[in-house]
Amino acid sequence: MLRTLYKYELKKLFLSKVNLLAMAGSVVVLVFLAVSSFSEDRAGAREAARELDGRTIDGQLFEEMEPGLQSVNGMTVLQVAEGYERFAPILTMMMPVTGDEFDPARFRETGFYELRRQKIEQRMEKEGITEEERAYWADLEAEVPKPFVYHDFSGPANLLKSFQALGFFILLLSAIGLSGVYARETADNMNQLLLCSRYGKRELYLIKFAAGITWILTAAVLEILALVVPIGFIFGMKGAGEMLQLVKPLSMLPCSIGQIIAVCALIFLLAAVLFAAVTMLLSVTTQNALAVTCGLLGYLIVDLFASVPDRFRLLQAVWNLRPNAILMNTGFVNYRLIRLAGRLFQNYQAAPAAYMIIAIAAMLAGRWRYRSLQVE
Amino acid sequence: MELKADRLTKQYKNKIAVDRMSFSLTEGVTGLLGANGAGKTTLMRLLSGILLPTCGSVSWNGMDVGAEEYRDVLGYLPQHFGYYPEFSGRDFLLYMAAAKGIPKREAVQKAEELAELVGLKDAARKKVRTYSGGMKQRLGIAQALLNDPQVLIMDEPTAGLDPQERIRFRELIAGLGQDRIVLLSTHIVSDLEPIADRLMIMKEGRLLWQGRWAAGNEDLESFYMSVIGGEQTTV
Repeated sequence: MLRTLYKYELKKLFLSKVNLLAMAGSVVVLVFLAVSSFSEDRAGAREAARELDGRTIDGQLFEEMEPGLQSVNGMTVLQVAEGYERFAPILTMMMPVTGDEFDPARFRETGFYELRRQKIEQRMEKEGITEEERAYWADLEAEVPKPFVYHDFSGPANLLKSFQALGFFILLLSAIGLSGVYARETADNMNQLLLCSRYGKRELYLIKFAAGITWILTAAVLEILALVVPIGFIFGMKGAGEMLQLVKPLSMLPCSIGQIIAVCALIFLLAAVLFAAVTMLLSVTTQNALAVTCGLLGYLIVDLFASVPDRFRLLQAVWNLRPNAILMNTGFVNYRLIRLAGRLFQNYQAAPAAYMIIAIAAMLAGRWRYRSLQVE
Repeated sequence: MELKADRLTKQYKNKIAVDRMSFSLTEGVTGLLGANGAGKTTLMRLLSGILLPTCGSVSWNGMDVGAEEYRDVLGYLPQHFGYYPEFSGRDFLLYMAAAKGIPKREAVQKAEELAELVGLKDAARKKVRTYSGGMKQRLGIAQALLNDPQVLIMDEPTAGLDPQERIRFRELIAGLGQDRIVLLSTHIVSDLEPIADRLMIMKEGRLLWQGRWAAGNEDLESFYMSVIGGEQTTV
């Protein structure tokens, strides 16, 4: 019987016109987003990336690059300099370290890796990183091979970049698709029938919850595929095994781009579960689907535009654990760590556990609320 | 078999919807009469266990109506309820059967029987959103009967039914009332006259009259009006 109930709860979610429209719309927009990265990618740069594939990023390469860097009044005007196009992929890759104002003289003097170290040090100072945290990162940094070796990584890089949008879309889908899971029964006067049935008072809560999680995970997988399939088709996935620093040069994580993509995908799926659990808790608590949708959209705006100043260390650490912060890749160049049970954890290590704890707490709180439901 | 209310009271802020009602229902059809706002729907929700009383109690064979055992023997048809537009009539019945804990094979058979009983056999696989008001009401009656309930509570069950359907419904209820407790409210007094063994008349949350009503010189409509008007005293 419970399986039949689950089947029908799935049917409600999957056949709802609003849900179908929202899911299809998000997939179309994500495919468009993935394809648009191809139109931004110039043919010359792609050719240059292929030619530079396997080149070590060292002094010899910088010497070859220098004629292509034209300095005007102490500022480098890259795009107009002859020969720039040939090295554009590497210059773009180095940009987070060098900044927009690429000064060849300073660069020659200090070297790329020293500049990178200084930049990391500046960030650490700004973030108020403790000695213990510095020691933790130093151990990891020691495992990052240097000098970097350039490889064409446009496919995985575009995928990682596109992942930034996923958190936004899954929250939107959750707000639209799951806000009515419990609230709708009240709005449609169905609670009267369900609450006086054998399973309606207890088991149905968990069955609805499970159906909601199934729906959001299906949506999440479709969203990942909406990015992976077109990007894989256009760019291929060559470069997934290359070092993360080619995409995030200020990261000190000794891992590959593909590993970070896998981590992002896992965090995204767990974030989907988190959003679904919170949406369903709000649904059962407020019994008002519109209020839930509006509340979550309000949160989305705060999530996108609000930031916590560095001086509020604990608050910032918590704020940086939110799914959008991790998926927008800030988690991989954020040096603040979270101490738990005597151990230090990075954001992307702590976030999955936090999401699951919150999701389970939301489920239990919702169950408590559901059992006290009455038909007034 | 006994459904018993003891000083049952439900108060909303400044309004007492049900005021210290005590009664006992046994096998047979009991008609609940009262004007709009008399508290009939609130009383039925209290008896169905989906609304908690402010004070007093409702028990089924000595057991609280919040118990799962009571929900197993209860069939409830509310006055207004929605349907899932993406479900067919059959889907709706199977869904409700699953919620009532009826095994799938039995549920399929029961859904077919009841669809036929309420005249929805041909429309069972059509989406509920295409149903007329009367068809939806019949579907509601069918779902209330899915678990072969020993206590059947129906709030305005004849609303939306055409005259022919009302006659069929009366015959159905008269048959069901022989070995179970049936409580039905209606504002159409003539619907009760041929089938009700007992009557309960409510006004402003209070039980004005309860007992067996036998047709004599006075028809039920006149009797009801005289109770409401205060000419008859509470039994």
